[in-house]
Amino acid sequence: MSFPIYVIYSAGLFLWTISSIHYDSPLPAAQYGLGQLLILAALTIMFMADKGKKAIPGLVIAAVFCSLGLSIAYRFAGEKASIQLEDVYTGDLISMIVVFFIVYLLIRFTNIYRIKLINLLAGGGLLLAVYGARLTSALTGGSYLYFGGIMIFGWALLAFPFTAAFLISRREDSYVRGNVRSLPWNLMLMLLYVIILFAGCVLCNEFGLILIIGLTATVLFFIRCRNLLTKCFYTISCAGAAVLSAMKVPHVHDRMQIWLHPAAAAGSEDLAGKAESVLYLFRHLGQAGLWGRGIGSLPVSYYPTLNTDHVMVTLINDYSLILAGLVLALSLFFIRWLLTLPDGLCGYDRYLNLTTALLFGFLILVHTASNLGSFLTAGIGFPWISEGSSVNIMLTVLLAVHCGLLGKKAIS
Amino acid sequence: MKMLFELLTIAALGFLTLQMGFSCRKTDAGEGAAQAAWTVRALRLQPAKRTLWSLLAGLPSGSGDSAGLPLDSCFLGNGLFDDCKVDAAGPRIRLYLNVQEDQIWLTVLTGSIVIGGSRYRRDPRSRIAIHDLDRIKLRDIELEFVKRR
Repeated sequence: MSFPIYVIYSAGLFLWTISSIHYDSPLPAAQYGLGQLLILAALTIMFMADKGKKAIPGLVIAAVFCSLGLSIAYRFAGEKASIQLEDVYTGDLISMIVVFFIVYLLIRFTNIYRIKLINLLAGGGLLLAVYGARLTSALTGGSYLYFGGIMIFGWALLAFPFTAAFLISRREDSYVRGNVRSLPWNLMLMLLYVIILFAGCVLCNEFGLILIIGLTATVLFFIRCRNLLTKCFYTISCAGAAVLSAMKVPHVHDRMQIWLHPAAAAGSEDLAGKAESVLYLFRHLGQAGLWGRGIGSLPVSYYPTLNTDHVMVTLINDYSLILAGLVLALSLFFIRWLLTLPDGLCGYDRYLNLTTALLFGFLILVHTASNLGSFLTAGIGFPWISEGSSVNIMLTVLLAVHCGLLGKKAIS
Repeated sequence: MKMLFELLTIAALGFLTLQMGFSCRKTDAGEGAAQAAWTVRALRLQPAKRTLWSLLAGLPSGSGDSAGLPLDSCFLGNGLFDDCKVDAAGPRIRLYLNVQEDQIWLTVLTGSIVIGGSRYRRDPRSRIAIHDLDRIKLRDIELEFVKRR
């Protein structure tokens, strides 16, 4: 039943978007239409292949987000200099679908992702990407964000779940100082790994990644660590590091000021142009009302990241508060779906799935909170609705991992 | 016309959200519970002393019970916050079980236990290997560990 409703939704959104914004060139509309057809085709294949239909609810929600991503991409197409396929959302969508099916088949029908060497390579590769970005990439907005043409945020989304699951699910064979009350060595290694990763992120000035990985690692650590004193020490260390970065890192300090004192920040010359997205909602939410102000009503010059880090502001203003609310409700169901798994899978699979669900959950939570002014601007996009090819492709990999795990049999 | 498309989109999305909500409630995909590799069976050796504490803690009042142990670590003892609770009388007993495929590594964190006539007291640095059908005694409770085939 969800499949035909999705078709109605995507057709309605397509017609709504096309009738709202007209371009001289037919290319943006053609790319949008092609993207919709690609999503439909992928969904149809999965609908036929997934016998138990366990993957369908999550895939339909992901398709809803991708459709919105296409609409947002069309809405901002006029602002772009290039409309080549590799530079637009439809091009990303082709890569996402291809990657999805490859990873889905690998996870569902093989166990190669559990091989120790592959997981070690993933962990090492992530460190290489983070430190390599600092050494090789050019500055982008004050940060070193790319390694090998892919955002390090994307590298982290791909590699961290595998590395974390590998380290956490190791057998507890020895403990720090030989005392069972202390940390087991596998958990200690995970902590050390995360600290080294964070140091690289600090060098790259990529604090959004620290936030997401930090939140995910904290939940995993608290689940596995059974020593209250260690948990307290960990919490105090994290809180101390957060306060230190808020005081000493200039752009984090600025964002903190905007978050805590938005009215004062609006009048500050030093913060000019940095507080607009948060303040926009406060000033214009009444005008947007429940039904929005219409697609294309918010000029991109108002804030340059309205199709990426501040896409929720665009949804509320252009597409209506109701639609944004429904998207958030669907996000909750999506996380709930990500947390379901067949009983009896091995520890590695369960932690891999949990890490995936946590990453999605924190991405959505931090993005929404940042956009609504409940949290400082974190520079995090909404999965698939925000533009960002490498991050969206890596999120699709995680989606494929979960779909593959849903189809796996319990270990005997 | 734009209004019509907007209504159509939002109505379809609303319907889809409702449907997802219902499908989440009745999902049969499972909660990802780990498969138990061992079973621990508890047998009471003498009548239980019912106290207000044991009543509040919701400890079982029967003469025997069993639980599955997945390949993981857990606390077993007579405290309220232990993962696997036993209704052993007297002062606090707390054991750390590191459940592995071939054996269980047991560490006595609080109190003492008896295995095969030998008493093991609190020692967080030592690990005792428990094999299939081994029995341990926690005062008035005897636990038997059985490996699942």
